Amino acid sequence: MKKNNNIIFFLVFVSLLMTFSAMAQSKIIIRGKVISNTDKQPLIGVSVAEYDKNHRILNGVVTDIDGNFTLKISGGIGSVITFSYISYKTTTKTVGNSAVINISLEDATQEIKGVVVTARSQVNTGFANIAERDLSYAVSKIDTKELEGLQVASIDEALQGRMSGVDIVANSGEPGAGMSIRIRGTTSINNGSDPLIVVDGIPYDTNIGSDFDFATADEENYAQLLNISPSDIQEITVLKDAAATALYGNRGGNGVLLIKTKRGTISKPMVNYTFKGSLNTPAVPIQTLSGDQYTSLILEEAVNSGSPLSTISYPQFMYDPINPYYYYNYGQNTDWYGALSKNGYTQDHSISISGGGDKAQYRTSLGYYDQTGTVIGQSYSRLTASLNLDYNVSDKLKFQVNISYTHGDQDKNYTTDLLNTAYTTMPNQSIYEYNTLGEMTPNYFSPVTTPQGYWSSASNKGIYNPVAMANTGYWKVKSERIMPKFNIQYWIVPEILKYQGDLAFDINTSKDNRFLPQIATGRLWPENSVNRSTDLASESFIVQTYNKLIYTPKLNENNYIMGLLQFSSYDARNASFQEVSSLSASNYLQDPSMPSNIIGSGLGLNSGSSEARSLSLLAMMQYKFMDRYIFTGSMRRDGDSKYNDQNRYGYFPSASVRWRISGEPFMKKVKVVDDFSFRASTGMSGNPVNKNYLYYNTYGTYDWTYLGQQGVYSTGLQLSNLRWEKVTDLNIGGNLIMFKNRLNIDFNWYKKRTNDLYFPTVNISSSSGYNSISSNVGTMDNNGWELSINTTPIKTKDLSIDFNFTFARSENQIMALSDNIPLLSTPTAANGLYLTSIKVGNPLGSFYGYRYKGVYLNESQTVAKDVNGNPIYTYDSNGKKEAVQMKFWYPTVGYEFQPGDAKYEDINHDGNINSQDIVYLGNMNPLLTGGFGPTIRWKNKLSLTAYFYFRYGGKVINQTRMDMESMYGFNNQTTSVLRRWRHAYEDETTAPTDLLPRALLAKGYNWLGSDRYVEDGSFLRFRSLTLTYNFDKKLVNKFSVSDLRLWATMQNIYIWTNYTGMDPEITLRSGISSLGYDTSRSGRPSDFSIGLSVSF
Amino acid sequence: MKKYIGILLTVFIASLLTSCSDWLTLAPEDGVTRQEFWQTKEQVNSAVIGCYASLLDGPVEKMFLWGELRADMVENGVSPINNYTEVIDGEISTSNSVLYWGDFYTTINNCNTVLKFAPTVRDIDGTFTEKQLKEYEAEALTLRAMMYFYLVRSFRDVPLVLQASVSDNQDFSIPKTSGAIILDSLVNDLKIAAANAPISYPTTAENKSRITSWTAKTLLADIYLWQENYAQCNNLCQEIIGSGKFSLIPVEKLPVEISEGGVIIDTVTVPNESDADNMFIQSYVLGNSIESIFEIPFSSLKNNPFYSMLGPNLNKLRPKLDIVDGLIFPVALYSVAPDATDIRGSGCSYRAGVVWKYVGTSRTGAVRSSIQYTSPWIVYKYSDVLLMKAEALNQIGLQNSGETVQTYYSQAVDLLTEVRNARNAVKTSDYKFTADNIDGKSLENAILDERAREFAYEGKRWFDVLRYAKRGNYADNNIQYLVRLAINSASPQKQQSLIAKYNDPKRNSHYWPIYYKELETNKQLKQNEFYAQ
Repeated sequence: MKKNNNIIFFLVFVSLLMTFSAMAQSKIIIRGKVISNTDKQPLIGVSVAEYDKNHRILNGVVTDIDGNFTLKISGGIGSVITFSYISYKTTTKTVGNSAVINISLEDATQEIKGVVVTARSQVNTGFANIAERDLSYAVSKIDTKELEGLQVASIDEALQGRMSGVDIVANSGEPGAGMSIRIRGTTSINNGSDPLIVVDGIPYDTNIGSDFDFATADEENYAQLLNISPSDIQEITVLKDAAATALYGNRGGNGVLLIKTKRGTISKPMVNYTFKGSLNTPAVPIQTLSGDQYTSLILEEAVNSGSPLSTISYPQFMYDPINPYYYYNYGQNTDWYGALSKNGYTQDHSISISGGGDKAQYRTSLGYYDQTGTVIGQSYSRLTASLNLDYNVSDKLKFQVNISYTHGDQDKNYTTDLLNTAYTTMPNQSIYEYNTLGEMTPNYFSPVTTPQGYWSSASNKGIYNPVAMANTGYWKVKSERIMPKFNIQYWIVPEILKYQGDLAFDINTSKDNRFLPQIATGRLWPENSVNRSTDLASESFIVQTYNKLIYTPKLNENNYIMGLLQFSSYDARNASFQEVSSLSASNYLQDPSMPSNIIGSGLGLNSGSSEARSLSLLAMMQYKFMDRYIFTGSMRRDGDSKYNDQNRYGYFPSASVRWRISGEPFMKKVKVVDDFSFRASTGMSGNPVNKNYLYYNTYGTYDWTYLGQQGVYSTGLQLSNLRWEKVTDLNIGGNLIMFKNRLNIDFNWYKKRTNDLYFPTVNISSSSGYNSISSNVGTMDNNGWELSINTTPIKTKDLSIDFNFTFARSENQIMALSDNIPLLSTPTAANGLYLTSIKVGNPLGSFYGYRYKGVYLNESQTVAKDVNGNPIYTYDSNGKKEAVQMKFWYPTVGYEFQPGDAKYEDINHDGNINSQDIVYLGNMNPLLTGGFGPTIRWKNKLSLTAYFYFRYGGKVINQTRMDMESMYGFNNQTTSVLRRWRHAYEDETTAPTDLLPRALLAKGYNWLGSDRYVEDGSFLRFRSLTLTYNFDKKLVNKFSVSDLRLWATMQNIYIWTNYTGMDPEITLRSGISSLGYDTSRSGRPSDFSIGLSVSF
Repeated sequence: MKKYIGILLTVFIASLLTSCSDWLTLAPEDGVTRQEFWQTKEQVNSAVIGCYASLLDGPVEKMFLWGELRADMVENGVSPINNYTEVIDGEISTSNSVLYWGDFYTTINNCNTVLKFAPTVRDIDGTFTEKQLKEYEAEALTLRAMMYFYLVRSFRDVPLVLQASVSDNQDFSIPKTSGAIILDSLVNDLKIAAANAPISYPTTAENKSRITSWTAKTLLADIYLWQENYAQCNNLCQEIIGSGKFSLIPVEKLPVEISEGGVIIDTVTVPNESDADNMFIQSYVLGNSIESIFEIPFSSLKNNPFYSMLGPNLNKLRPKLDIVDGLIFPVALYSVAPDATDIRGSGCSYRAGVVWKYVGTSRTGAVRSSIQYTSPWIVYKYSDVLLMKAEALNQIGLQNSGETVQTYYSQAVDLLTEVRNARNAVKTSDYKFTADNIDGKSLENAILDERAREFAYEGKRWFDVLRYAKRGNYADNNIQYLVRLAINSASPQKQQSLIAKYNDPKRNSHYWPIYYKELETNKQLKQNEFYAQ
């Protein structure tokens, strides 16, 4: 708190300074009349004001119904009076000896003829707008004009593939799921590689602190959308290299996404209304077995594994009409997926009013977004309101207030894996229960246990009736977010030294209500899963301050200097409270505060709180010489409360240079080149760890008692060696603009090294009493290049065609790793596991496994062969020669392969498939990513925009296929298992080529991690197609509409890929051990939407 | 102008230099740090309770699996899982999570933490007496010894960690210590613990579920038996028996005369059903029976791990009835007296195809509902002391010669008979011990068989058989005890390979391989010889 006092003191000090200029003098009264110069009629409501030399209003009045005014002025003779009126030219008069000033104002509408725009495009770098051509950094920028018409809930979805070096991937196709964003690849193994998002100069926290995830929720559950209505966004800029991120230091180590929202301008009030509506159709599902096909598979699985199912133990597979209860309840062909999915609809309304006069500008907006998902029970609605206010007190003093409010209402299913469960639930099971007479009842059929298992009260997971779960269980998230921001700008020395102060609050509360009805799980009284309800309230409160001094001395024409000194602080508090109870008397009593049971594992009250702080000091200097040589240097010192005293502070320098070759005299003659320059930058930034208090040895209590007493234990080691993860960046690039901006090429090459790589779970020997600790363990490199080309090949009066490409390549490599991390994890003999090791010299996300060679067609193929393909023989105890069977992991496991089993390549020809037969199978990193698409405009009326985006190279482990072709348990499988091995093929030529191994219940090694499931993840997606029509201004003006636009958009139109799973676009957010695994079973829905935008 | 700049810069920089570090020092609000803890004797007590509480979350499950999975009394149930199947078939791969030993080391670390920091509380809390401290230390020492004894019997050589893990500055790569050396150090610890631990606590529950001097002594006797130090084992057992603190639950028996052709040829006894039920309920439902020496209690807040493992609907494991029912527990000798059976057999150890001890609510009652799995896990009970003493005496007899031998044997037979009588064991013709000519080897077998019945599904079977087999460094064809187990337990096609593995004692196949993750994280560890590729 002491530091906050300092900041307040500083603000008070600054405001005291400003009072110096407010000195009163003697009074003079001026009278007069204002008329229009066109029709000579009096003007009503004209602002008449006296200004001081800093353009601060001293006194002001407005004209009455006859255009008359009386103004008492403070200054004497020589004071300036200004007359301003909307759509008239502002006129000033100097007070002379006369006490009467009559004036006729000139109509400003006649003036706007042939305005020559000389302003150059500026880029928002966060603290000051620097002309894009003066930047020595790597940035990419996108104007939201390019995005209009896309039906997206949040802007990150719309940005996908549009900026080079920015890889944005949806975490899943389910509605409400977040996106993961990577700027120039993954820089940190697990310490969050998401970039910092900065809205109007203030960093924006995108999710609840990881400290507060209760065991029931994973990161994805809490990933919030960027709750900014896309229509409020004016511009998005991405800062990529370390020199650019120097401003945001530690928190910007993964890149910075700067979002600038729309603000009011000097104009009449403008009202704009936008509507978007869309239809989302679910993706085509994976084909699964029908109930009859499923039953024959299960019976075959059991027989093959050596113990045929007894229909006494398993009446579910009895199919006996004499027992109608089982015959009907387990004799169905249920399409679980179809019973859950439906078409979804989205509507998005947004209305805004903006405008302002000379002194104040405003923009206020109200938005409503409503989406119903493609799965029963999923929906999302959001209400946003914002106010941006700018007030110019004088030429010296200006302030801004931004207030935004978001209310979100998300309905989810109680379980997040509903569709996955729908695919695997026994298809012979009925949705609704049949009674013992074989008559259908209206109740859901939710048995206590099925052969697949049961719902476990202890882990709160398991088997359930998916339709009952979707309809009667729920997880509602209600969130409120208020973000007031205050900004003050004061020129201490006009045009030379400016102070800028920001104070921003972010108040975020959310409430999760979940209810698990007994009728979905079928569990019996008095278990803890019966009518279990959860109420979780969490809140976060963030205060950020920025104090900047910007120094821009006036030197001569050829020298330009800008200096910046910034001090900032950040304080975030999180608190949460959870109540879980069970056994309420009915499905309809769903609030945990009602009389119910709170004793038991996972039940009861739970709360947590934490606080994190950081401070930083930044000094930065830019020097420009002759508009050709630009140098920028900065140094920052960051302190973070997550480290102990020794490792708390980090120093992070950066430097960059830009040489504008086109400005050199020898290039002057080359007229086709507008700009040609070379950039180089280097810098360092730090990533803080993602958890608080790790440097303490903390103690906690067990969730249970022993002899009625609470036991205390040490919950974690004191991590005194934890330090900043440091990212060092070298960037070399160039810009080439030719043919009057019709060709614009931006190229960057970079080398990014992460030192002291942070790893949150480094396994340690469990003989310490712990399994893992957080630690800084190694070095990782991300090298690559980015190229973006914007062209306008055709530009005539009526027709213009733009074509944009972005390409990026990022290579990731582990350079060094501590001994505590296994370089290559010990291979395992278990089904379904790949060796996804972290290995020095290889990229993250490499996988290793066996090579799959099809199926052992018959007995003779299972005989072990030597290098030459001859059978290997041994002698039995009687000295008789016998052939050796192929074995698996002999001697520890020693399984002998049987006909119909999966065949793996015996790399070393020793007749034994074991760790020595595991080879490198590929890695998940794409070779090239990017996007491209044309925009065709015709007569300013019609425009057509198409967008394609792609990833090339990169392997994906199709885990969905692995799980749904394993034929190992009671889960339903895909229809491809109909091609399974069912009898020996003595004549090998008769065997089908796409044969799958035999079904084996909980036995064998038919689904080991092998190249059978490793697929090429390349794809080209036709992401969107938008057609926009602008109505003729003259036509619409007749209906007092200034602008009317209609558009139609299609999204996720088509994907070209060889991948056999649902979608090769897999999440980047997963943990290090699951990189490259595709577990998604719900594809991306395709959308069709229409929109309307009207301005008054 | 310059003045303004000067003032501003001064203020700016001054504000930065003031105590930034204080502002950045934050302590957790919803937890307690080590520095704040360890202030009062009550906190020491909470930490000691923490040592016990950690037993509930993993060690008990492993105590069951490690003691039973490789033995001959369980088989795959309705919902087999691969990890168990592999162990039962003797195909133990190093990635099998049954091998994970971390749960034991968590408890060991909790004990080490108490041993390291409890003495420092003496300096702060004046009311914390030296005697109390010694008692708490004795509890921690005994629990730690118990954990290591499980590890040594399962892996033989394991890392011996006696220091609390506090900070990441410590080296956690600790090499293996030979099992024999670990056992010696446990013996020393337990001697101290036996001297310092409380003789009794105020409540019965604490007497049975916190470490008493008797717990330490029983554990020490068990370790002596493993070390083949029979004299010391015998002495300690005598001390425990002599204390009079424990006894077997009495069961009334009604004699039934069996006649054949009018001639009484035999007399068998039928146990009183309500007494037998009382034994079951006292031991496996209520807990804290007079027989119990140390047991780990479960409650509705923390159920035992047996619902999903042994429960009737979806059990992963079930009794191997072809061995248990008939071979281990002989059927009633005469069809006219079908109830003249062992009270530990059907209705106690097994019933309705499940391990009844943890599933049933009484001998004839219903199965437990999923949240009623609160049966205590019995680590030591009085009959264990009786049978350990019998085994020790039997071995002393086998090692000696001359007339005294028979006195050792007859004492051992008396102890064995005490247990058998209390449980109404079926008198088969297998072992008949006449008063003056007892065969030591037969007695050895009889004691092992009795232990199988007495401790069925209490996590002791494998360790008993291994102790028998490794006796005298696998002398006298003792390996046949393991071979017999292999014949009983493995599936027919796996028997020969399992026997081959067991017959190779030098290659350490009788002990678990080390779980692969341990080898990855601790470069000092070496895989057990048989499993090292």
